Amino acid sequence: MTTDEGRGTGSSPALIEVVGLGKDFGSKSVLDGVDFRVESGEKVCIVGPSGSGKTTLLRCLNLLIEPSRGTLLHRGELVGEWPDRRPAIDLKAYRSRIGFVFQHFELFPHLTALGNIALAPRHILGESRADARRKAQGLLTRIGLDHLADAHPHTLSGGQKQRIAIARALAMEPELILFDEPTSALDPEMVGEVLSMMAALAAGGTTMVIVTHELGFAHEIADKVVVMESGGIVEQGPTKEVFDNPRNPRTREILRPPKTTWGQTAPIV
Amino acid sequence: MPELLAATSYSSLTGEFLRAGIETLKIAFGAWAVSAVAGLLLAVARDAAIWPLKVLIALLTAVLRSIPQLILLYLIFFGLPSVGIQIDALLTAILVLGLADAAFNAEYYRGSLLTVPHTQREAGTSLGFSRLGTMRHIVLPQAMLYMIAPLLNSFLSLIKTATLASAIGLPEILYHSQNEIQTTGEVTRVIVVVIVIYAVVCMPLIRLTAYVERRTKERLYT
Amino acid sequence: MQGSWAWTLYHALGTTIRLCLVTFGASLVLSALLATASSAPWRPLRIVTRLVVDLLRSIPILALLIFVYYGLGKYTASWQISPFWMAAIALTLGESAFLSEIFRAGIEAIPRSQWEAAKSLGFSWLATLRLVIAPQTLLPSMPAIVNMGIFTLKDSSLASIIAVPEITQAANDLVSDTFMPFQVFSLLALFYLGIILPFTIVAGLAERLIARYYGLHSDRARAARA
Repeated sequence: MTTDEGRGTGSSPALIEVVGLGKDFGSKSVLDGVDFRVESGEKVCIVGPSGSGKTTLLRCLNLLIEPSRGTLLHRGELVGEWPDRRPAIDLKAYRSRIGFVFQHFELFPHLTALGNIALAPRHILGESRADARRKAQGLLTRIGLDHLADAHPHTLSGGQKQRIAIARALAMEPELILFDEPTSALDPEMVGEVLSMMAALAAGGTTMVIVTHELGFAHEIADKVVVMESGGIVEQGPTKEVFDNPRNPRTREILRPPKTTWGQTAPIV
Repeated sequence: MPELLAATSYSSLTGEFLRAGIETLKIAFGAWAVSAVAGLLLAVARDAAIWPLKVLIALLTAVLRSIPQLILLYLIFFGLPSVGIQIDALLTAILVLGLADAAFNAEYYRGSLLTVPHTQREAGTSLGFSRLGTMRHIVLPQAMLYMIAPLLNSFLSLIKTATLASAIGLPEILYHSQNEIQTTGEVTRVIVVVIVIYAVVCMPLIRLTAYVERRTKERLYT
Repeated sequence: MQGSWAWTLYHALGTTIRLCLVTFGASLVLSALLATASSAPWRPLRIVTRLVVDLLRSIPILALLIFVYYGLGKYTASWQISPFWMAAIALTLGESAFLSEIFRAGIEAIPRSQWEAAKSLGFSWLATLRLVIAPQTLLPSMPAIVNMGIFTLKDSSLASIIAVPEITQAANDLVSDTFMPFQVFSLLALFYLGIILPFTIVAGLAERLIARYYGLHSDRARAARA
C-alpha cells in the first residue's frame, strides 16, 4: 500500500520529519521541543499517559493542527516552518496523501459504508463514480465486510466502523497512515478485530504511526517506539531496546503494565 | 449623494418621526403586555385546564397562528363595525398583534415553566399553597430566567409587526414614512431614516437575545 | 357580476401561489448562500454577512415591501418591474435572513470532528460543506423549512399593500364593491386557515417523527440500548 521505493539507508530523507515541534493552546504549552521522524515502511508506536501530547503530535504530522513552532519536512522537502514560514504547499493535497484514523471512527452518518470509502477517491482523486465504488467494494471484501456495503454507520458495531474507517483511509492510497488511539473507544471484544487488521497492514509494508495504549500490540508490531510525557519525548528508539533496556528510568515506569500478546486483553491498571 | 449625508437635511424630519416612533412604541409595548399575559395564561392552561377548555385553546391558537395578522386586523377593524362593534385602531392593533404573538410564544413560556421540577409544586402544595399560589410564589420565580429569551424575542417581533397597524391608519413609523415620501418625494432620505431607526433599535436586541439564549441554554443542559 | 368575480379570484389565487413559490424558492437559495458565508473560515466575510443578516432581520417585512416599491418605483417605467416582482424581492430578502440563521444553526450543530475527518482526507472547506456537512443538516432542518413555507404564505398577504393582485387584494376590491367587509374578510380568514392549518399539522407531525428518529439513532440512545 505504501510507495516503498526501497530506501533503507539512513542517508535518504525520512518520509516525515519534525524538528523542534511545539504547540501551544492559549498560554498552555501542550507540546515542546519534539524531534521525530518516520521512515518509509516503518511502524512507529507513540505511547504515554494522557496529556502527554501524543495526539497533538500526531495531528501536527498531517497538519490537522498547525504547530506553534518547529519545522516539518516531507521527504526532505520543507513543508513549513513555524511561526515564520507558514506552508506554501497545498495543504489539502498534503493531507490527502496521509491517512488518518480517529479514535471515534468519524464515519459520515449520511453515507453507507461503501459511500464513506468511495467519497474521497471520487471527489479528490477524481476517480469516476464506478471506479471509486469498485475500489471501495474491493476493500470491503478484503476485510470481510462486503455484506455491509449498503449499511449506514449507525447500524454497525464499533469494531466494524473502525475497520471501515481504516478502509476509508486506505482508499486514498496514502504514503502513511496515522492512527489516533484506534481501539480506545471500543468494547474489549472488538479490539482484537481492529488490531488484526492493523497487524495485517503492518505485515504488508504500510507505513504506520500509531498512538495507542495497547502496549502488547506495540511490542509485537512496532519497529520504533516513542515514549512521551508532558508534551515532550522521554525516549524513542527500536522497540526491543525501549521495552527491555530503556535509558531513561521514567520510561520503565510509563511502560510498567506487563507485556502481553496483543491477542489477549491486558489487565486493567 | 453628499446631500444625503448632510445632517441638516434630516432635521426637518426628526420631529414628526419622533411622534410616529412613540406611536410605534405604544403599539409594541401594549401588544407585548398582552402577549406576555395571554401567553403565560395559555401556557398554564395547556396543562391545567379541563378538556373542553383545552380544545378551545387549541382551536384559538390554531386560528391565531394560521391567519395572517393583516387579515385579522382588517377583520376586526373594518369587518366588525359593519355588524355593530367598533373598536378603535390602537386597541385593535394591540389586541390582535398581542394575541397572535401570544399564540406563537405560548409554547416557549410553557417550556420555561417545565424547567421547574414538579417536585417544587408538590413542595408548595404540601406547605399549604393553592395551585395559583404555588404558581405565583414558587414556580414562576424559578421559571422567569428562562422566560427572558422568549420575552425579548416577543418584543423584537412586535416592534416589527407594529408596522402592520399602518394598514388600519395608525400614524406609526411606516405610515408616517409613506406620508413623507408622498408629500416630499424624498424617497431615499426617508428610507434611510427608517432603516437607521429600526437598525439602531433592533440589531442590538437581536444580539442581546442571542446572548441570553446561549446563556440560558447552558443552564438547561447541566 | 358573479362570473367576473370568479375570474378575478381565480387569477388572484394563481398570483398568490406564484408569489409564494417564487419567494420560497429564492429564499432557499439566498439563505443557503448567506448561511455558507456566515460559517466561512474567513473572518471578514463572516462579519459582513452577520451585519447584513442582522440588518435584514431588523427591518419589518412590510417596510421592506414599501421601500422596494418606492425605491424601485422610479425604475418601474424603464425596467418594467411589476409590483409582483417587487414583492417577491422584498419578501425573499426578509425571509432569507431568518432562514439563513436556521441553516447556520444546523451547520454549527454538526460536530467539529466531522469537519476534521473530511479535512484529514484532504477535502477543502467548501467541499466538506457540500459533501459531508450540508447533507447532514437537511433532515433536522425540515420542520423549520416547512415553517418558513407557512410564513411565506402568510406574508404574501402583505403584497396587497403594494397592489399586487393576489388574494387579499381581491378581497379588498370585493369589499369596496359589496360593502360587506365582515363577510368578505371572514371568508378570507377562513381561506387562509383552510390552507395553512393542514400544513401546520403536517409540519408538527414531521417534527415529531424527525425528533423520534434522532432520539432512536443518537449515540447516547444506542449506548443505552447496548
